[in-house]
Amino acid sequence: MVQAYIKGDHSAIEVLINRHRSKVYTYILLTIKNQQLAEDLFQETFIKVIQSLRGGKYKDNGKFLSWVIRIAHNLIIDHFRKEKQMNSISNDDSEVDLFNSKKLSDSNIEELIINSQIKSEIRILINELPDDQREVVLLRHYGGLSFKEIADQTDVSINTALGRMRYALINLRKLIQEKKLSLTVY
Amino acid sequence: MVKVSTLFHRVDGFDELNASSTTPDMLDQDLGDQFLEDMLTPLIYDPGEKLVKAILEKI
Repeated sequence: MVQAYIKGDHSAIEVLINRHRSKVYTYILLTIKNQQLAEDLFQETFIKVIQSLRGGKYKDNGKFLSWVIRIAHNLIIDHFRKEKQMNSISNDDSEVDLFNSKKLSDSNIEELIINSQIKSEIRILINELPDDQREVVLLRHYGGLSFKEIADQTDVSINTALGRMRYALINLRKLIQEKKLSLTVY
Repeated sequence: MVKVSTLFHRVDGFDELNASSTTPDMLDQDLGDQFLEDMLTPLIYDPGEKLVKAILEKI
C-alpha cells in the first residue's frame, strides 16, 4: 500500500491512515494525555508522513507503523520542548473521558461499562509507570519498535531500553497484584 | 549536544534500583510482548473518521 501511494495511487494513503490510525492515536494520547493536543499531533504526524512519502524519504522495510510512530514520537518531543520554553500549563488539565472506541458501540450496556472500567484501570496502571518505562512500553506495543529502534529513538543504549522494559513489566505485574485487578471481560 | 528529556511525570514509589528478588536475569521478550498484548489490547482509542478526513483535506 505504501508503494502504491508512492507510485501515485492517492487513495492508498486513506487506506494506510485508516489501517494504523487507532494505534498511532492511542500512542500519542497515552503519551501526551491531552485529547485536543493528541488530535492535533495525530494530524501533524500523518501530514508529515505524507510529505515524507512524497519527498521519497521513506525506505520501505515493511515497518511502516514503526516509522509513523517514530515521527509521532519526534513531534511529541518537539511539543514538550516548545512547552518547556514557553513554560506553559500542565498537560493533564484537559484530560477527558475518552471511551470512544468504535468497537464498544455495538456492545451491550453491561459489557460497555465493564470494558470502560477495564480501559480505565489499564490506563491508570500505565500512567503510574515512570515516564521512561511507559515510553518503552508504548513504543514497543503500539509501534512495534525493536529494542534497537527504541534505544535509538530515546537516545539510550539497548541495555537501558531492555532494562526499562524489564522494570516496567515488574511494576505492572506488581500493580495488578496490589490493586487486585482482573483485566478480563467475562 | 543538548538532550531534551521526555520525562514529564514520575510517580513516587518506584525504585528501579531496588528490583524484586524474583526479577529474571534475562528479559524474556516474547513473554513480555505477550503480557503487553494481553494487557494493552483493550486499551485502544479510535480518533474517528473526522480526523482522517481533516488530514485528507489538508493534503
